[in-house]
Amino acid sequence: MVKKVLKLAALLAPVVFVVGCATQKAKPYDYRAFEASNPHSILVLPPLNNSLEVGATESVYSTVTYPLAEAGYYVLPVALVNETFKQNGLTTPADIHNVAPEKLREIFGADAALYMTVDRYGSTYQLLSSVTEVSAGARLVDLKTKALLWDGRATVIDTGGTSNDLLTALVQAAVTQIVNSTNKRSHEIAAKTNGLLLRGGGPQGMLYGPRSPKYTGRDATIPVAEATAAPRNDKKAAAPAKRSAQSTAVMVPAPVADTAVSPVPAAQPVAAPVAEPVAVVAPLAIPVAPAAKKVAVVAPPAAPAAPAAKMPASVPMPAPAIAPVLAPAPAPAVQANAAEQIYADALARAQTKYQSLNPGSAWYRQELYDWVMDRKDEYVKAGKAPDVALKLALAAMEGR
Amino acid sequence: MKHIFVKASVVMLAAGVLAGCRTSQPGLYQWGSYQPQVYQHFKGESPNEQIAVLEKDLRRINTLGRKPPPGFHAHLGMLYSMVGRNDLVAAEFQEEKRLFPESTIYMDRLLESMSKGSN
Repeated sequence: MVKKVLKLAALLAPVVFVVGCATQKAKPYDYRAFEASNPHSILVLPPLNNSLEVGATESVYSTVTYPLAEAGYYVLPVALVNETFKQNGLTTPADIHNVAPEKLREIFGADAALYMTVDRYGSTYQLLSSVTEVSAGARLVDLKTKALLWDGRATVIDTGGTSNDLLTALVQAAVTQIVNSTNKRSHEIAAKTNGLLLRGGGPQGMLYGPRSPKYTGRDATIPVAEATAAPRNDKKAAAPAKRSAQSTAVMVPAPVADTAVSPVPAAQPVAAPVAEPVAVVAPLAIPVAPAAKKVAVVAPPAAPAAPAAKMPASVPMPAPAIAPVLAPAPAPAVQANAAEQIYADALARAQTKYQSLNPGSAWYRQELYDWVMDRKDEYVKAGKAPDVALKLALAAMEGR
Repeated sequence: MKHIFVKASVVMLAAGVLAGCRTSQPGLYQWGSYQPQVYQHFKGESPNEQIAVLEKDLRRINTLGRKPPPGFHAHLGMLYSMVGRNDLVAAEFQEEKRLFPESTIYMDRLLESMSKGSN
């Protein structure tokens, strides 16, 4: 036990450092094109949705303005932009992404356009439904020269702050997964993903724009807005980092991901109007912190909605109560059915494993959960489908 | 006992590192509920409700002597036009332009199409 924890501590220690100040390690991003272009205004196009969630585009699109504007850029009003596209017969992100840059520049007068994709949104095929994940990528393109100025990718995984033990969480999983997928929390995590991806000055991130006091470019003609407390500063953010209740946020700018001998068949190339040779298709699955070697891990700017919950010394665990909770769960869709099956299976296996171990330590339960999720991500990274990866991870847990 | 110490130190280390690197970032704008209202708009909420919320936001922003974010006035202008309050639309687009000259080309285009009566 001691050995195991020490091993875990060894795993965690470097990660924690990276989370704290992810500045030195990563390969420097080549900002020459960005600096040369020196954009003042950004037209964000409706994101392409590669996730399974119907509302992902709207959710992500409605929260891009904050990080970009606070980074010092003028961001064209997204709803109005969307309206203009609609009035011109362009109703889907794919159509809109195909509009010629010259045309965009002519209509909107923006210096650069941001082409985004949402690759994961919501809580599909996770071990726990309280795990919410949003993954998005972005490419900033100069509308005059069509040059790629910057690209990046970010994933935020929120494991929720309510449940500290595996079984309780699994029960919740089985129930909530089926009930809703587009929920408030996914939207909050989407906003956080945007914040991580698009904020100014992050490692490998966007440069500050002319309206920011931190702008370092040459053109400082635009007056800087007066500075007061940020509206979104979270006072509770000083809570100790505990993976159970914090989001795990991973930001991978595409160039860094030269681990990108992608085992996942490359996502269908996005029909971008710009033919840039740059686009290394990053692997769809981004390893979560402990497995990550090369990626920059960035702490989310704010704590999740639920502050880190205290772990009770002993969690009441009425095992028999589990079955009735699972049984009446309705199955409105085929996909939900499959998910239910997976969760039920996971629950049964985890329960067996759990009972064979000394459950005295809440820390151990958390470790167990984290361990399973890490294995799962490793399998995903190795090219397994998420549901297969989960099964393998659970099998590994049993064999441990 | 040993492992308790190890895990405690890991957690404290995490807290310490996080606290150490956290810099307070002053915001450039008073956001009010601009982004939530944009989301509501995408989800089809009635423009009138959004207008009420944003107008209230704007009063507060003005009271605080701060600046609304990029797009706030333009969005409000769009909502006014959706409910036929055309007398108010142009002023919002003009205000967007005044606060953010970067929007000039787009705002002028919208104002022009309005005056042609096509909007």
